[in-house]
Amino acid sequence: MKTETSQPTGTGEIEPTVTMTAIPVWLMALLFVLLFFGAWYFDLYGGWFDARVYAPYRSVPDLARYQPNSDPDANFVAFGKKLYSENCAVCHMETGVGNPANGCPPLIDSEWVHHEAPDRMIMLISRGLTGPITVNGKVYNTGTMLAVGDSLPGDEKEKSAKIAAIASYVRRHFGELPGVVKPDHAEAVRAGIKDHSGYFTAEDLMKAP
Amino acid sequence: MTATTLPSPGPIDRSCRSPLFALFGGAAGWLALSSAFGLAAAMTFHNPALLAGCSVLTFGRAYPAWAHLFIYGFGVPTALGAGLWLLARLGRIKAMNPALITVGAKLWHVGVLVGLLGIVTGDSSGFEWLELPRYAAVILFLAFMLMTVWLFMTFSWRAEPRLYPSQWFVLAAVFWFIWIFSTAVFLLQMHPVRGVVQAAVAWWFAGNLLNVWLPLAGLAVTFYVLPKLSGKPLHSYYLALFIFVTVALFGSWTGMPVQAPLPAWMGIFSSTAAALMVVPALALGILVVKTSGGGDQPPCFGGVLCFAKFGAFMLILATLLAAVAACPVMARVTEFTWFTEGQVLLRLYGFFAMTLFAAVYHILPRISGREISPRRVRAHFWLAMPGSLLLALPLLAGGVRQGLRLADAAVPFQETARAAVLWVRISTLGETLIALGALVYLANVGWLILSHYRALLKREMTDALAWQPVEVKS
Ligand code: HEC
Repeated sequence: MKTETSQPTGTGEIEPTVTMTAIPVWLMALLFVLLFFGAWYFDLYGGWFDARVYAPYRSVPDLARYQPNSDPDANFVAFGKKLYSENCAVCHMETGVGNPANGCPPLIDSEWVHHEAPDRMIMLISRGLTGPITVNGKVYNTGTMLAVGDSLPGDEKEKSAKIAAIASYVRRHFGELPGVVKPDHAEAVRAGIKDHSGYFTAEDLMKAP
Repeated sequence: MTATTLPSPGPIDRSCRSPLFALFGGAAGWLALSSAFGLAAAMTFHNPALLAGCSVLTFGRAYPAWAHLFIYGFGVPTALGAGLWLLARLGRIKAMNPALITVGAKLWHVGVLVGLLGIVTGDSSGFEWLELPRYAAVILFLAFMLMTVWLFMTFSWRAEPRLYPSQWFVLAAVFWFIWIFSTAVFLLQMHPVRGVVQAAVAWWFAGNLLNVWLPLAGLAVTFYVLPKLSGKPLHSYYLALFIFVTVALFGSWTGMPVQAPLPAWMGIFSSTAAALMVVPALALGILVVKTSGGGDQPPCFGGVLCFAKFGAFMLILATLLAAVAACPVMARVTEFTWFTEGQVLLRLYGFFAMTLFAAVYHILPRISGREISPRRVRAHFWLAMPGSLLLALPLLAGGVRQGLRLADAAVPFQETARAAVLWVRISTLGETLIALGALVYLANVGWLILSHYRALLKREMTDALAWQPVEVKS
């Protein structure tokens, strides 16, 4: 055994030195691989720092699935929410604030959304909307809403159901209106506007209930 | 074994003498006492009735007393002493104000004693690794600050401007301790936070203590002793820096069990961090092998170098085990079983204690000017090394077994608990070896310190005797 006693004790003793060898590349690669999987794992299970999420649950939506559900229409409205994100949120935004700079009015605090009867909503979703419209005291005239409802995939029955779902979600979420719009009702309204061609205007809508 | 007297210590080593005697000497005593409490705690598993008549030796008090004495009695002062010497040696400067450091060291031991008395009389705080009551914590904190002020002074007045990795590790360890200890004492004992946050703080403290502070304080020694004793430079500056940064970064997130009743992100984040600790562990492996490995190295028979090398490998093993246990599949089995305990004990005895022994056996002969017989060091090694393995490995294996049985609804809980006792039996054997090793250590350290004073006394006497005739003659 190499004994340290062969060296003189005290300040004369040689202190260790260090060489500047580089870190092996594979170690760095391993670090990044682990970081990647760590982030992925956290994204899957971590609940994104939400203090309400405890193991074994993973996220807030995950928790929501296990909440006792007393609302029979929840699934229908959730379906509407999904469709809204896919079809309407580009213009009206996920939060419903709209995009006033591009002539796209908000759905929040809109008398059109708060309107008791769903017919106008069904109509404008089906065929789109153009021309001046007053929303919450402001006139919007520069934009045109496309016939989003008509271009939804599916036959007439499916379209009506989807439009009813979207309308239900918008009315509940932005209009605080209870209940849902029945697909049958949407179908009936759509049957009534079968002969109308082109976009609606605000004036057209006012004639409906 | 050649000479028993070394060339007399240089001024730097002399300046460290009184603080290090106080720190190392007291710590060696606490370690022996801690092992005794550890054995008493283990006895409850084998014969619960044996010590039941004595409240001090019941599990609820002996176990915290063991933990308290190991960390605060043995670990912190020994690491601090080694750190002081490293800063002085590597900075080529005498320790600043050694007298005050010595006072701090004695105050520290008083604090440990007060804490111990508090714990055995039932005043323990109930937080793991922070069992000491808060009045003891205040004493410890003051003593620590008193010592570290002069540690920093020694560092900042150093004559050698170039830094060696050990210096960062020592300084970071000191800062880390101040930070986590004060935070934990404040949030758990002074102004206790409430509810879930309390558990989170306690786990945060334990994680930082075990997974950041121990590695920082221990590796400072490893990175000094390995290259010095194997006569080669430390393999890589960048790897050392890499270990330093990653341990501080990832280690500080570890500690929260995945299945703990805490918001999910805490446990998930923690286990991710534990998995990431694999990287510094591998880096350490490269560093150790490249620095002290190679054909020209003599085989390890139990010298100072063996302590340091074994310690480093056990840190790697413990870190890998912790990473494996952090995987969700494993965590479901091993969490809250003996496995965790085994991993922690491997870290404490296999890595930390062994590394500190290396430091003390390296440093003490230099500052006392007395050589210690390699036989005595070897005797200690061959008790402590198998002891730490026998202590930890059965618990690791038993923990997995226990976890699998706990998950099996067909096995009654009683039976699982009873089956685990077998593993605990083997591990108590290891603990006994460790306790014997601690006695040898105490004897070694005591012998070195006392023989220094004996030599001093003898020199005084001969001086006095030699002086008189001269006086007569003149
Ligand atoms: C291409 C962008 C665009 C899309 C997609 C779109 N809208 Fe519109 N929407 C508009 C514009 C522009 C107006 C105002 C039209 C005008 O000025 O006459 C409007 C008006 C409205 C109004 C009446 C005014 C108000 O703010 O209350 C409602 C209700 C409405 N949209 C709902 C929807 C729903 C529901 C969808 C999804 C099915 C949807 N929109 C999809 C652009 C769009």
